[in-house]
Amino acid sequence: MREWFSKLRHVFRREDVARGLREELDAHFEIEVRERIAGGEPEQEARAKARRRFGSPALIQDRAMDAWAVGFWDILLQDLRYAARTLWRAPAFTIVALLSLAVGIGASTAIFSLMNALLWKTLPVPEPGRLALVWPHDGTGARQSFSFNHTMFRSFRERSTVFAGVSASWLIDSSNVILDSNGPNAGPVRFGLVSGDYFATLGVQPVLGRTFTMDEDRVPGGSPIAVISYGFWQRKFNAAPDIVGRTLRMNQTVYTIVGVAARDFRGDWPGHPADLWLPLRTCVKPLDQTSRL
Amino acid sequence: MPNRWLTTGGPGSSISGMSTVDVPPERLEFLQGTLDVLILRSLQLAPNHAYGISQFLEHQSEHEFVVDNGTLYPALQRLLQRQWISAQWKTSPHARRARYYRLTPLGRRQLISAESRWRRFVEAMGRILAAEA
Repeated sequence: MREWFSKLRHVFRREDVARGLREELDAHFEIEVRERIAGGEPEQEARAKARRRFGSPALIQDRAMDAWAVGFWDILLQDLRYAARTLWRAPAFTIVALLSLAVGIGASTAIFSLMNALLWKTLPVPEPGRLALVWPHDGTGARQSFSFNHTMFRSFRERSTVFAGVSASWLIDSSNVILDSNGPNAGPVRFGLVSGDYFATLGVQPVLGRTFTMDEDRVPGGSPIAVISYGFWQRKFNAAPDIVGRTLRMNQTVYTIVGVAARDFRGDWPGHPADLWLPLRTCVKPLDQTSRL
Repeated sequence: MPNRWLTTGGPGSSISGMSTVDVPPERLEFLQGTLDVLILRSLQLAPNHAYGISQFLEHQSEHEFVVDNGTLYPALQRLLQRQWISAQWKTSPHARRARYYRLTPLGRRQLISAESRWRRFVEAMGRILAAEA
């Protein structure tokens, strides 16, 4: 154990140890020669005999330094140093190799990140594995749309026994929205029209204020309220603490903000993050009352 | 790791691993760590340098043990790592600088326990070798 610590402490001072050893071997040899001379041998002979008796200093040093080796780690370090030196001496090759690696790794990472965000990463909701997207199929194999009509949705919800919660959402990319009804123009937003139980079904908690409840659905065209996303709150409202109760104006209607959604939640459609959500009922005007579950 | 071989009997026997001198010794495996104990013992009386240690061992054993440098130096390094000995550069009587080794208190304790182990070993060997058939 003690040996291990000694070795570790000297890992970066190996050169010093080697140098000390060389000096020591030199000194040792000289002492031996001197003794032989003092014993009456002529210098030439003394040196020759001493040399033979002493052994090869390089080999001795090698053996002694082996005692400081930390096993395979040493060999690995040696190999790495050798590799570095070789690469340094062939710059053209090294640069080309490095560039190839960089481009390859960069491209792979970029693509993977994209796919991860769009395809594989689960929605930032409590139980993403339990969610299912449902849409109507009329059995003729023709091109399908994701739309449910509202009455169909409601009866589906009432009568479904398989699902714990059924909610609807529809995404719209909108024109400009004005903060505080009279304030600065926040630019275009994407908003979701959702049923009252949307947030409950997904299990999304508000960070401030509240999310929608089933009540929202009951009043057709009723009190215009909105839940905004965390990002939207940060960016456009500077994370103002008094956000609940403030208003937005969109298409001549003023909406009151009742809550801020959980931090990572941007809706149920990856790649199309929503900035805010409105209850379905507030936009009863759209012609065909279609809604997407 | 080279085993330390120890041969007894006859001149020119040497304590060596793979020899760095071209003297091919007869080899007989012995207890590992024997050389360590011998080195500790040689330092018990006074600090000494590598040459002095090998000379001590050679003379005390009446030329039974000739220590090969290729084995002595690694052994010294190991003893240093275990902190059984410590080293210092000093000027030798020949007015030349040399690296002197000395026993540490830990090394002293090791030597004492090694000595008693060795004595028990030798006695046991003796009893077996002397036993009537």
